[in-house]
Order: sequence, then structure tokens, then C-alpha cells
Amino acid sequence: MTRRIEELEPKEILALAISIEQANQKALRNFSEMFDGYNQEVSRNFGEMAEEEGRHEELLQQMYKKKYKGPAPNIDSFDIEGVVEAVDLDDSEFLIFDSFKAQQVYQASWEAERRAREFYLKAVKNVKDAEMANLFNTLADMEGDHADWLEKKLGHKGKKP
Amino acid sequence: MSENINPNPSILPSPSATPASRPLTGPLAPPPPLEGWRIDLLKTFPWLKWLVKRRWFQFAVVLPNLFLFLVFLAAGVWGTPVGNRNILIVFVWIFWWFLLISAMVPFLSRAWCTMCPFPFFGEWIQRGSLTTPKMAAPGAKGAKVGINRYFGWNLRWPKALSNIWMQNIGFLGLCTFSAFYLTRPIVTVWVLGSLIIIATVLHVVFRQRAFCNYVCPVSGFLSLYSMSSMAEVRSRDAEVCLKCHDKSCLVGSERGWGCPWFNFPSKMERNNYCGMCMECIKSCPHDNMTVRLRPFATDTKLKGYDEAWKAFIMLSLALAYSVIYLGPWGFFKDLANFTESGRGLSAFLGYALCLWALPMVVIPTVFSAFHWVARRLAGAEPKPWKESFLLMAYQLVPLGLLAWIAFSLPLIFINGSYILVTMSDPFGWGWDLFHTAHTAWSPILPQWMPAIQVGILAIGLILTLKSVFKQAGKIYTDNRARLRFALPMALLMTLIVSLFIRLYVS
Repeated sequence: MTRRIEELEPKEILALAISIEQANQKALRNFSEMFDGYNQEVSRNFGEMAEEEGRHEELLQQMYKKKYKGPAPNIDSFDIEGVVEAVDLDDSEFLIFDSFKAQQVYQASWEAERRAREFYLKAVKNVKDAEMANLFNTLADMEGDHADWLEKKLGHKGKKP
Repeated sequence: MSENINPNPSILPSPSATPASRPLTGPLAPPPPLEGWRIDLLKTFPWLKWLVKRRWFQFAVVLPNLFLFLVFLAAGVWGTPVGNRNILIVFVWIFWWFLLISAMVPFLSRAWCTMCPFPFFGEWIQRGSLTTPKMAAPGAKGAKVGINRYFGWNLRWPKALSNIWMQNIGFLGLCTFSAFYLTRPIVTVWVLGSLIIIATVLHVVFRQRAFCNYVCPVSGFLSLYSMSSMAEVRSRDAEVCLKCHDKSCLVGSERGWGCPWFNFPSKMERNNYCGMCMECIKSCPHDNMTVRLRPFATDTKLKGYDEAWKAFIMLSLALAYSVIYLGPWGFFKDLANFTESGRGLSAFLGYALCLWALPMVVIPTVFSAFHWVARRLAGAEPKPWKESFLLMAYQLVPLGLLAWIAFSLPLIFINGSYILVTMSDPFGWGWDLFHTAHTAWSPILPQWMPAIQVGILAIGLILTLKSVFKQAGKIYTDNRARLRFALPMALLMTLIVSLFIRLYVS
């Protein structure tokens, strides 16, 4: 049974954000593995993005430890409606035509961060609790920072979502 | 039982609620709405789901096929050299071809690739396993692709050849010599045997199914015509794939190999490069991949000139073969089979030149001329040349498939009795295994054949004309411009069909 993000407890939201960063790390590492030995630059960039997601996760873990005690509740993106942040590729035939460019890794990650920011900002509008709103705003800011970092890497050449 | 599929699953928060409301594009955008109905076959038939999820499924369909294939090759080597008395010629070039083009491709997409024996040995060597996927592990032998482990050199296929031009040239090359292998079993053995050897070598040298994607001449036209097929392997829910962090359909898992065709199955939007091996259905941890039925000619996007030329080649060959093998002009058949007819090498070279010029130059030129006129007539600011060219070249895909079906029908209806003969006496050695070896040549409904062929072509034309006007709407939003663009293209399609009809009726 999926829930809307606004129905979660603040603790659960933070746990969700942590699990999303973990999931993205795994997806990015898998993409990196796929390109390993095929296109090293793409593979390296995916690896770099996976490490970056790892750093995001660390920040969120620290935030969780500061705010709450005990282990984070077990909750992941499949438990909630909608997609908060997911890095994916938009073409099924990029390996067949050997058409994937290293820069597209940053593009895909940038789009994911932007969407995540928008998702949290939307959530802010739908909550009344100040603590929750504050948390969503913090998460939105973090995603915004990540998007800005990627925008710099893209040299502002990112295709607007 | 048609399943309701939500074409726009809730992937994202409503765009209107986002701070900057813009059209959504890119990886997280909802997929384009599905056109027409879909039936999820794995939900409708649980036994089918059970079957395709078995690790031994593909092996079980390839093995009997491989056995038959080897028997046929043996018949080609040791059997009678008389073509219509040898099971290799009759089963491969009459029975298999008819089944493939008239039944498998239109209804089952690339199901032939599921059971094809060509890559069997190569893939076995590459995987080091007949059924069970192997996982990469530190210190383990072999190379990693995704998270699976493979043997062989696993080289990257050259980027310059990452298209279907080799298949186009290879198929045209094979067809140039068709009269040789259609009539001489030993030449068919050379052709098919060479394909097995090339497939095996390429599997050892390159990653995954490089042979199938870029080299196999059969795969080339299956790729193109599978766009029209009524079957597809697709993900059920785009949101599930987005949230999935395993990406097992691409990188593999302990349940299934990563897509051997180098596709990313969760994002698949067309059939062209899906060999229906069912590995993604096995590997998906969310049970989100399935096989669906859909309307005829649903995939409509050609991605490059290589694919457009494949459409030209296939249509031209249907036309040329109709003249050579079905027409009343023995002269053309003599040219194609010059060693038997005594026409001489120069006559054959002239024939070969015409056969190559038709799809590579003549038809593309005529097509381009109509396309140019269409754009001029429409007048309004058009999309780039390539985009409208490919959209219109696609129209030749369903039309070409139906033209091939119309060409292939007489093969089975007129020559079908040879199947019964060679079943009982596969080598032409005088056996009578099923008491059908002495079946007399008895064509079925020969007097109805032209009418049936015209009927099939008429269906093709109606579908194509409908599609031309619809696709023109993707190029011109203005109705008047759209109509002016579509009319010359519709005229071209009508002329092509008229030419076929004239051939078959005359």
C-alpha cells in the first residue's frame, strides 16, 4: 500500500531521502559497471555520480542522527506515490548505436536533482506542520545545491527539463 | 480480454504544481501515450508466464531447431542435388520463409530470434553456460558485462559499424545469388554454414550479440518488419522501472542475463532490437516486464538512414523477386541463374547491377523526389528533411511486409506439396517415412492466387494511406499543409501497390 509523501512522519521522510540516495548509488554503480570496458569515460562519470550520491547520503545520515535516535525506519521509494529522485537513461538503444556521451551522465543526474527539488518544494505547499515544512525546505535546498554543482559540470549546457 | 493500461502513470508531481511549469522531457518525463489497445499475454495466460520464466525456456526451443537445422545441412551435403527433392531447399526456402514472413513476423515479432540456431554455439562459448546465468566475482575467470560474467574477448563493436548497413549490404549480396542457393542444396549449406561460423567467431571476439545486431542478414529485415508486428516485449509500468535501482534487465542478475542484444528493455519503445529471448522477463525483480499483443504497425519511428534504406531494399527485392520468380519472363530467371542458363557472366553482372541499383539508387531517388515535392507543396515551415524523410520512409515498412507476404503465398500454395514429399524422403534417397514421398505436385487454389495477393496488397495500401495522413500530422500542424504534404506521398504508395498488382494480375 503506497502512501503520499505528505502522509509520512518527518522521521520517515528523512529515512526515505536516505534510502533514495542509496538506491541512486546502486543504479549509478550498475550503469557504471555496464559501461566498464565499453566506454571508460561514461563508466567513470557514472562512478563519480555514484560517489556523489554517497556523499549526499552521508549528509542525510548525519542530519538523521542529529535529529533522531535509533535506526532509521525501513522505507523506500516504492512505498510512496510518485518518483522523488531517480537517475535513468531515456533511450533503450544507446548501447546498440554506441551513442551515449559521457556528458549525458551529468545531464541525467542534473535532471534527477532538479526533479527532486521540485518534488520537495511541492511537498512543502501541502504540509501544515512547521517542522515538516522546514525539513522539506532543507531537502529542497540540498537538491538545489546538487543541481547547481552539476550545472557547473555541464558548463551550463544542460538541456532544460 | 483487453487490459486497461495507464499511458501516463504517476511518475511525477503534477507539472502545474512545480515552481517552473515547463513541458516535461528527458528521462523522468512520462512516456508518450500508448496508441491502441494492449493485451498483457503473461497476465492473460499464466502458463505462458511460467514457461518463459524457466531458465531452460530458450534452450528448449533452440535445441530441436538446431537438431533439425543440422539434419537439413546433412541433407544438403549428402542428399540429392535436385532442389525440390531436398529437404534443405524445400523446408528452408519455402516452408520456413513462408512461416517467417507470413506468420511469425506479423504476429510474433522476432520470435524466430528466440529459437534461431545461428548464435547457439557462440553464445554457449560466450556464457560458458547453456541456461544458468553466471555472476561476475573478484578473481573469477572471464570478463564482466554489467554484473554477469562472460568468456571470450568481449571487445567493443566498432562505433562506425554500430548500425545496420552491414546487414543491408549482406542481405542484398545474398539475394543477388539467390538463384544459386534456391536451386542447389550445397550452396545453401555454404551460406547457412558460413553464417553459423561467422556468428560463433563474432560471439567469441565481441560483446553480446554483435552478430545479430549488426551482421546477420536475416536479423536486419526481422528488425525492420518487427515494427509492424502485433507482439511486443515491454515494461508494464514506467514508474516501477524508474524507481528500480537494480536495472537488472540491462546489467543482469542471478535470475537472468543482462539484455544480450544490448537493449535497455525497461525503456524499450520499439521492437527493432528485441530478440525476444525473455531474459528481461526473468531478470526483472519487480515482475514488470511482459509480452503484449497490440495493433498491427504500432512502432512508427525509423531512427536513421540505414533503417530507411533497409525499407527500400526490402521493397525493391519483393518487386524484383516477383518479376524473377513469379513473373512469366524466363529471361530474368535465366540472368539470375546464369551458370545453368548459359547466359554468361557479363549478363549476370548486368542483372546484379540492376538488382543493386534499384534499392540503393532508383527507389530512394524516386522516393526523395516525391518527398521533395511534398515539402514544396506543403510550403509551411517544415521539420528538418531527415525527420520527415524517415517518417515517410517508415510507410514502406508495413507496406513492404504485406508485399512480401503477397509474394510468398504462392511459394507455399503452389509448391506446398514438395513439403510432404521431402518430409518422407528428406535426402531424396527413395525413403518413404510418412507415406507421403510420392505425393503428386498439386498446387492449392492457383486460380485464386492473384485475387488473394491483390487483397493483401489492398489491405497494405489502406493501412499505409491512413498512416501517411496521420504521420504527416507530426510534420505539419496546419491541416492544409498536412494534406498537401500527404497527397504526393499517398500517390507514391498507390503507384507502388499498383505496380505489384499489375505484376501479380498480369
